[in-house]
Amino acid sequence: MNYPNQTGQRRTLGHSFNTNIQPKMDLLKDWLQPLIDAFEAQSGSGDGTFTDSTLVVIRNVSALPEPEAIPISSSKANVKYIADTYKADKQVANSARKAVKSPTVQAMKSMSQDILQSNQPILQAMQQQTSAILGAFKSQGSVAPVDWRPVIQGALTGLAQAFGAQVTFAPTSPIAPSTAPAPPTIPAAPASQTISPENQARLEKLEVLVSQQSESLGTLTNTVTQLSQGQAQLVQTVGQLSQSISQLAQVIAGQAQSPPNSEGSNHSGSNGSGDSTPSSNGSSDSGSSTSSNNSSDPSTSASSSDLPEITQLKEVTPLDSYGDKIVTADLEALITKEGQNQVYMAA
Amino acid sequence: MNPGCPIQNSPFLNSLEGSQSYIRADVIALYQIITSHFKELKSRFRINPLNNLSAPGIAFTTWKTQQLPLLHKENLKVYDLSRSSDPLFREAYLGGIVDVYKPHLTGKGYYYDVHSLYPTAMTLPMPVGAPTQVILSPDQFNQDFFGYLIATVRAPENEYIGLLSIRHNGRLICPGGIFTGFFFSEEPHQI
Repeated sequence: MNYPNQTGQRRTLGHSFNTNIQPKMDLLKDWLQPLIDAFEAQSGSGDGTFTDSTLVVIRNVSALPEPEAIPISSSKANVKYIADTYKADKQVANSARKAVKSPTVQAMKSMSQDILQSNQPILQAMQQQTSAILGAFKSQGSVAPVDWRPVIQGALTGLAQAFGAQVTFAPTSPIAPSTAPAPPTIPAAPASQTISPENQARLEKLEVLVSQQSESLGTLTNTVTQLSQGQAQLVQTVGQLSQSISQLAQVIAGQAQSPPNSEGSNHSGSNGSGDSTPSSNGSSDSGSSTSSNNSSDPSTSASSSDLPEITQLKEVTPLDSYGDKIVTADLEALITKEGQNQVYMAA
Repeated sequence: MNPGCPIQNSPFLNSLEGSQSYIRADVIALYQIITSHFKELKSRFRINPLNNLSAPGIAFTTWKTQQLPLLHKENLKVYDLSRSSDPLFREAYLGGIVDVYKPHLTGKGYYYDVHSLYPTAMTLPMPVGAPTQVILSPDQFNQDFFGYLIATVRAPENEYIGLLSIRHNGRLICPGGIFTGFFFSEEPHQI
């Protein structure tokens, strides 16, 4: 058998031959080469191109009951053995195909789809929650900051007076908030202002409270940041899990759809026009055109750079006459029992 | 045996002599046909037919030599889809349905015998260029779409003869009602 360009013709090249595990390659080459040459010479395509490669498959016939028979099919025992073997192989292939279509595989496929569908709302909810938290942080960061400087200046002034000292602060402009309109600012406390002991105690309490609030706010910020990071990792993990399940579903679907063998899958032959039916009026047929319905077929959206362009040929000067360039011949032959073409007449 | 019978004396009744005469006439006729064909080609096209192995090969060579340059002048390219999209588009390439009908004419009318449809179709526009996948609405299809498409159509259910064919379970049928198929746009356009 041969497979030129993997899409060309298949033809039996020659009859069987006997060999052992250490064949003489020269003899094999001398026997095969003329057969290949003859095939390639007869396999030119209609557009003028020739067969550029031929793949030859040599089958092992030693297991046949009568491997010495030439041709192999001349032995009824061989024919029966081949038919039985083919039948057994077909049964195995059918079993494999049925296994692929087993309820277990179908159930796994269905389960994978269910998991994928159920993961989608979880993913969406997580993403929405994360976005909401991040948005809240952003909005919190845009709030006008509190100007704590007057309070701190007052506290420090009180402390200095308690120790018999005076401190002065340079006048500062209030911190302008990032958002308009500007809130009324607290006027800076005069550096020389005296604070009563009651106010001093209040200021100390206030300072402690401010410190505690700052610590709490920092702790809360860290916690929320960690929570956000954890959620991001969870989303990533779930996404990877969904991707893995999707790949698993594709593998299962591919196994379920791939035929175990190519027998009977070639529809490129007869259109069955001779066996067609007339218009089946009143019938409704939802049949579709098999593989062509695959809208994701890459061949349908191939770019022009991927496709070979048919190039024009240059004109050549025709010969004056072809009479002495043409030979016609006709050979009449009979196929002998040995499988040879015996030419008995020629013109 | 009747030696005088012209039929019995015919060399064709002698199998060996008849065969010899037949194949000799066969090769002579073939030689004359080929030389005449090449002579005709020489008068019209500047190609060397000896480089081809078949009549379709000569036709393709002639097209690439004479017609393709005309397309290139209009910046039109023709791509070889035989090893990429051919199986896809071949789904829309359906043979003719051979059905036997018994037509009858009631009243006054005309019978027509239509022939040479294939060469007629070859004179009409054909899709060329790199295939591009698009999604169409029915209105967009009805406007100016030209190419191949997968479509779900509704065919009249009570027509005498179905006109839009699909391949179903390895057979060609022209169903009525709603069905899906892969078509060349000019088929549903004309129906």
